[in-house]
Amino acid sequence: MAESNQAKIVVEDLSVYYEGTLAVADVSLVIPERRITALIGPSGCGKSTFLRCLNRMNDPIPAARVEGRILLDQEDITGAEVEVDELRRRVGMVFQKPNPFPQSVFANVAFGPRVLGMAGRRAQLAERVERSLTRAALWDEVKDRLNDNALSLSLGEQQRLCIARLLAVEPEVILMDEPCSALDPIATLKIEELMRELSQRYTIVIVTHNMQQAARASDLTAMMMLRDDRAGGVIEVGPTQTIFTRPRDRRTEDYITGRYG
Amino acid sequence: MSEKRPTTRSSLDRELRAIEDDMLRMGEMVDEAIQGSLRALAERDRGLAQQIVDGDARVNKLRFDIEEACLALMATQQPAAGDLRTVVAAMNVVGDLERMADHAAGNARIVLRMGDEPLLKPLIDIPRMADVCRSMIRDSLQAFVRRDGERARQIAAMDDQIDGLYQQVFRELLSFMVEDPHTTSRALFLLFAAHNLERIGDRATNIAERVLFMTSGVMRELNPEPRESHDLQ
Amino acid sequence: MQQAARVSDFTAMMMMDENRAGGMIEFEATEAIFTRPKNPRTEDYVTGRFG
Repeated sequence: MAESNQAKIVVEDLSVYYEGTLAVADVSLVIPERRITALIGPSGCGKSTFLRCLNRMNDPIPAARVEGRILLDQEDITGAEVEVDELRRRVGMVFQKPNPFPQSVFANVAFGPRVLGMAGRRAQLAERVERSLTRAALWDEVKDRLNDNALSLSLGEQQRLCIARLLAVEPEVILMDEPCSALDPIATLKIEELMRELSQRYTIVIVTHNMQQAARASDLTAMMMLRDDRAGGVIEVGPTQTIFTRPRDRRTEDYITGRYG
Repeated sequence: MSEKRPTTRSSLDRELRAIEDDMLRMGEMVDEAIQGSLRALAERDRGLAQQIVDGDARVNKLRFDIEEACLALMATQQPAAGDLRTVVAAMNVVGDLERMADHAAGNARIVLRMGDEPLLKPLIDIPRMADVCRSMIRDSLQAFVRRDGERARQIAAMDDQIDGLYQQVFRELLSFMVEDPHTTSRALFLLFAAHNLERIGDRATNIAERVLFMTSGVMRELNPEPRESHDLQ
Repeated sequence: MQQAARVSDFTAMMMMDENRAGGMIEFEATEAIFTRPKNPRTEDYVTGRFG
């Protein structure tokens, strides 16, 4: 793995306030392109809040206020003039609980392209849907069930369908917020294998409370923790191999070895 | 272990294979050191001997690199069962290989220390010992990558040959020294060389034991007389 | 799975057969299940190798 990959996202002094209280404090982080970056840390340390900043999913929360800069390909995405819908096409998100639309498998994947005017002719759309499902390692399971309701799929399949859905609109970054929490070990490992494949094309950022998953599946790991002022910050970041064999910060070591509280 | 294994651990499999490849490469370096030190002894080639002494640092580095890779694999991939035994076995094997290389370098140093004194006698048994050592190393590493516990068990028997040859060398050199004490220093050089090879043979048996542990899950000393072997479970 | 390995003394491995009926395929001291399981299907499962 090349150590010096281009930066896809550069976070500079990011802070998030909820109703005036500091929740995430002064985070600066470089997310390399086409690598998997994992965010680990105890519950409540601001990992998901931080992740949601990367595609401005905190915007709909009136109590939330964001300070600092987030550069996507060197352009700040935090400004008021930024096209947020386009941002969320480029930076997609997968959630903890799979959330397919209560429609057919095909309609789920076709939804985004249709709405964004990327659908083209019927044959092109069908091709796009097949390509997205293939890239999400789901095509074989659903190719004969494209008209079935998405909710009839297993949870693991539903999650991969959600991934196919966002792949259909040609993103650059995939954000994953505890994507495997609701899944069994088999489905989890399949998603991890899929992530590895996807990282050849897309930049991936994953928040996980499962340390072993971060250790297995990521290239870079950032450790977040609550500071004394009860705001979350990044206390250490490095190649995953280093973080899990010889972390520099005592608190990282304690967390990783399971010695906390 | 099942034959056709599902592929939800491609990173783990890839890293295990890389460790095995490096281990085989280390085995080749050890083989070259043994062969080279013997040739340097037979031909009194001090240049070659020096090369082997200098090359030992590379073997040491490779050992540490492989151990580091094993450490990283354990930390990141949480290997269990057969995978775990494989990684643990690999860490032990590279330790044995590194000691073997030390012994081979020891023989190269003997060549340097001997100066220009002629060999006390033509080398017959010592090169035979080296050949058996090299076969044991090659076979036990192959048994490792093939997960062949049966082959590993057989390799232990080869160590008998080495011990037998060593006894012969010992007796022969002893009688030289008894008959003519002036031959003592030259005899001792050869005895040390034979002793280094005998130690290499022991280490190769260790490798075979690790392979058997890896495949069976049981750590057993592979004794020359199978009836006396004990399960250290 | 790591939780089972950490906190238990004994582990029972359960699996579905071709008729989708569940059964216990192995039962051992936990340390043995995770270092040297006897059933190849147990080995595949604990090492994370799923089809």
